[in-house]
Amino acid sequence: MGKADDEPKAPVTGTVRLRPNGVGLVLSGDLDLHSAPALLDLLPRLLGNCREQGVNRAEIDCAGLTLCDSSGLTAFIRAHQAAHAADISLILVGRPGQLTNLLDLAGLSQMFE
Amino acid sequence: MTVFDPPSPSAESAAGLRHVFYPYAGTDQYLQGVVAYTEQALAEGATVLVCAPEERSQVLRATLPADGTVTFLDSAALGRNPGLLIGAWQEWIGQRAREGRAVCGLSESQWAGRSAEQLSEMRYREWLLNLAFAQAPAWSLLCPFDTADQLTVDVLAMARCHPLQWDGAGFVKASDYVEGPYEFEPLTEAGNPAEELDYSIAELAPLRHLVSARALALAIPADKVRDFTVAVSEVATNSIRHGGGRGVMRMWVGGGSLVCELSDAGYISDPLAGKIRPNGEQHGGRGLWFAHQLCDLVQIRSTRQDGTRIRLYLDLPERP
Repeated sequence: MGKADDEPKAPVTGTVRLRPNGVGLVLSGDLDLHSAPALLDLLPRLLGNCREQGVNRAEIDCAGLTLCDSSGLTAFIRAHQAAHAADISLILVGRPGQLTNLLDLAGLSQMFE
Repeated sequence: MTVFDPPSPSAESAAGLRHVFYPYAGTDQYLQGVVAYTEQALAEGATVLVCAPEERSQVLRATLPADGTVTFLDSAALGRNPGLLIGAWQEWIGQRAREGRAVCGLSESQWAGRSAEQLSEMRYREWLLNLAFAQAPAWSLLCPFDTADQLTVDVLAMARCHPLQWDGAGFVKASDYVEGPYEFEPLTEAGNPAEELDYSIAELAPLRHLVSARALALAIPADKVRDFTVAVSEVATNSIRHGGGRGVMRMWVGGGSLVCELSDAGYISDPLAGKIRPNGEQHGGRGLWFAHQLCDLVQIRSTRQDGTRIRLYLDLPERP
């Protein structure tokens, strides 16, 4: 089996983008140490859009998430806390089984509902 | 360096765990000791929690009071992974402590049919219980250990993990207890050939892909592979964040498991890292906890001189 040289170097992790209406996020791929900062980078715009449009509930669409580890979870927690401070509830929708399991293990299933 | 929250002390009642070894030979001596321990506990108004293999639990159900003062815990919740022991007891005694009840536990593990790696980790978890519950409210845990068919060194290895011993009528100080540092058995030889990958943050995804592909090729069920891949991601992330930004992954098949070893230059100073359930909304410190929950076995060896070596085990499907 090959050493590192044979493996693709380009990270194939996740992407985070704003919903067209600006008041939600759509995730795809793996949310890990590499991709999680993108979620936090978009957060100020997301919360700003919510404020402008008078929306108090923002959804993060997780249906396209292929994997989430503790770095992803930490990003969700930070985002939740920032949203909460702005009186906005942050909801995780379309949770794949792996994310549900991870939230259960962390005892945080209720946090994003 | 990796920083993990220590178990939160409960200032008003930090009396800790009385961790009691009970070596016995034969069912008669077993029942005698366990019944005496239980009677003493109930006389003190404590609630008794039993975690034992099903066949033992059946014997105990027929012997111990059936008036609700003795609770049989679901030992299946521990699976075969000794890494879940501390978290499980944390949860079980936590529930009772919140109800204001004193707890006397009885913990008996399934020692037969275990690999050398599992036995090694099971003993280490026994020893770690002393650290994990040093600041907890007072409770006791009796650990019966069947000495029949056991080598003297193996009985001694267990005795080293318990500060107290049950003499049939009460707790006595155990002369063989070793307060620390814990002496690990050497890790078993790495399998040959091993696949190898140097990783930094750019290789997180390729690393997961490599492990996942190998595990799937071994006909391991997809949901177990997915969990294992997350565990690998957690340990590699720790290397990147706390272990000098990079590490080396080696992977092989041996002893009925796929073994994935991740090494880095970091040092994990807290032996309880990842063994205690993280609380609530803390930002970090969950990676190793998840790794323990998502694998069949985790071995962590870390020294200031040699850095950290973590082995994650994923059991192969049993042959029909």
